[in-house]
Amino acid sequence: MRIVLAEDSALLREGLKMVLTHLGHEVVAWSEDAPGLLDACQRLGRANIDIVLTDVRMPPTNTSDGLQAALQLREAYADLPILVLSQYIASAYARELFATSATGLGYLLKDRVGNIEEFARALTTVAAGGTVIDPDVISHLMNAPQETNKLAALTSREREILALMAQGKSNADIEEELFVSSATVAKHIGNVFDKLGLPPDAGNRRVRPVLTFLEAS
Amino acid sequence: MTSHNTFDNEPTVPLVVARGEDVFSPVPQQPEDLPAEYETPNRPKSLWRRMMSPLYAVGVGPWIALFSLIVLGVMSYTFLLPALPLAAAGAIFGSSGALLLVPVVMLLGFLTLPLLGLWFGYFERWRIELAGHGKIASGHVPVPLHNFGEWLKVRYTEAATWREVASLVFGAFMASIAGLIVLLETIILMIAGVVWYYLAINRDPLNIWYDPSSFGLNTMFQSQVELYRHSDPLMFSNLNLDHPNWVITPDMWWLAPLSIFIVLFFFAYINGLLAATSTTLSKLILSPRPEEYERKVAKLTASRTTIVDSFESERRRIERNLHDGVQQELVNINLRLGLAEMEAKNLVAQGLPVESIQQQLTQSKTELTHALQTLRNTVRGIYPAVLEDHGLYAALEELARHSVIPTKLNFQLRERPRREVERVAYYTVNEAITNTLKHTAATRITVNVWDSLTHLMVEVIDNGGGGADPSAGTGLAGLRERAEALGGNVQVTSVPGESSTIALSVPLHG
Repeated sequence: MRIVLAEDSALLREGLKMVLTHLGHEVVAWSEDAPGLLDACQRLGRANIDIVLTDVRMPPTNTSDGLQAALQLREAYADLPILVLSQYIASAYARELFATSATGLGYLLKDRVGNIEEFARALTTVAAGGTVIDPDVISHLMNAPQETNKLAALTSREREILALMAQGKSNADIEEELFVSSATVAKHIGNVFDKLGLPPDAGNRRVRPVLTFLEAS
Repeated sequence: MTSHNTFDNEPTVPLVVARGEDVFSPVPQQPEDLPAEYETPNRPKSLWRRMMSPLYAVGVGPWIALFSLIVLGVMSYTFLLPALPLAAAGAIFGSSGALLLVPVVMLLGFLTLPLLGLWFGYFERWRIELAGHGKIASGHVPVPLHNFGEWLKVRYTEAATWREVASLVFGAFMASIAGLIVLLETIILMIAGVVWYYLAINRDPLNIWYDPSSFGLNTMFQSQVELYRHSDPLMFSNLNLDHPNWVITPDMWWLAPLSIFIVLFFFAYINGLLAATSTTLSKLILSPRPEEYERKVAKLTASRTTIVDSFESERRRIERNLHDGVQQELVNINLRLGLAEMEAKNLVAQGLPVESIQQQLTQSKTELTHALQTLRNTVRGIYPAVLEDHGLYAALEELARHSVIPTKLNFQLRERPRREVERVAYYTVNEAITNTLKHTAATRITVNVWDSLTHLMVEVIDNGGGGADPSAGTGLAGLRERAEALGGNVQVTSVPGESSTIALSVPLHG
């Protein structure tokens, strides 16, 4: 895949380049701040980028510039896959990122990139138009106080499956991870949709429940 | 919600005044002006009040008055005298034709006055307090003396200094009058004493003549009459020496002590009046004006805000260093370990005996992930980036979700408050949750955030059985400092056996 990388820490940028190259991807452009990222994407054009990988906190303001740049990129290229790397679990960032759409978007904690396989899968999922939300963010959403938590109606098994779905895992992955049959997984997923009042044919259905919660909270 | 009522009853407006009193104690009180019902038995009596008492003359009051006058005289002249040689020098230069030097010398005198006034003010305030007229705040802004240039600059430009100069000049004036009067009193008493001695001891009668040429009366002891009769017979030719108009015989010696008692009674009131007048007027001159207090409060609030702000930027710097430095480095190590682990896995798949390496790598990675999590929590406590980016709600939501004790957040704000207010609210909730976790066995925490018309209100209530100590904890003290710098306050209340509440109230607009 052709990747545009934005990360202000030179050390981590080189580390990421190394891993991405190792995984067989090509870093076609990199930047150390948000404007640089926007420039690079504009210069290359949508057709030459498979996925954008960006840090949240970057210059110039050192706040959530990377996230803002990602949102701007999505405005310009609605289907440009973007995986956001963050130092924070903050669901507020995830909520902002997924506010308008979720296809081809991911929010991953930086800790996660150490798990190369997971990181690689997240990249592939997002590049293919899927959605990935970091498991820690999911579990924090799940831990919200019962009264305000829409997910409270779910059984623990259903929550577990929802969390795995949100991480971009396929039914097969889930079957393997939980040692259950595909019929059981399908049944649980159906229950999740029912309990959250989502039509089964809603677009982007795999992360729809989590997004619903993100939007509501 | 009933808990909100605690706040509704809180007086929020007089906070500034209350702070002012704390900061500027001793508070300038005007005991004379207070209605009688405010009097406390411990309060010192002013000279005015002492003089109203019928027993004034036999009490300690006259002595206080006299002492006060003596102190005033000694002090005002001591402090004014150093300026006199300069004035004298000015006069000499002026008369000797060196006119150019006159303004220089006058300027020097003028410049020494504030320094003398400063010292005088110090004693004068002591004297006023001694006379029972209450404490006066100096009105001086504290400036460390080792920064002498700055100290001089502040002192010369302060209203307080020039008030003290005015009080010095006024004090010298009052002291001059009082000095003359006390001198007169002394002379009168001495005369009475001499008369008493001559009458009682020397048995020498006192003759009194009506004499228009000498203040209406002329007096002479019999021994003097005899003396003059022989040495200078013409001296009192206008008097009929053998026939005075009145004679006070030695048997009437008691008239002398009696008159001493009577004049002493009057002197007590005269001195009392002089001392009380000088003290009251001096106090009027010396007392800082209300506007000065307000200015000082404003200045102090500003400086406290600056301190809090500098703490804030320091925290931001630390957070930034951690984020840009060690966090990224750890993430990078994690990345490399991940790669190594993957390669080890491939080698294992190829049948090479490197399982132990793979296990070590996996273990290292797990530990590193834990280190990263710990660091992330620490960094969040130091300076919450989410708070800056997404505001109070998002940050508190994070806090509530990370809390080990189930925490419910009720958040109702009409608009995003200013950053300083958000921060103090965030740190309050953070501190409260940490304290609850550390010191109580609470199983539930409720965080309420709402806005009144003027204030942001934050309440953190736990069910940990109460017993929270409002004075304990440096964290809480720091919070209080922060809140007060913004004109707010923090209160800790607890219902024993039930709950503890930490409540914060901060003005929404600075």
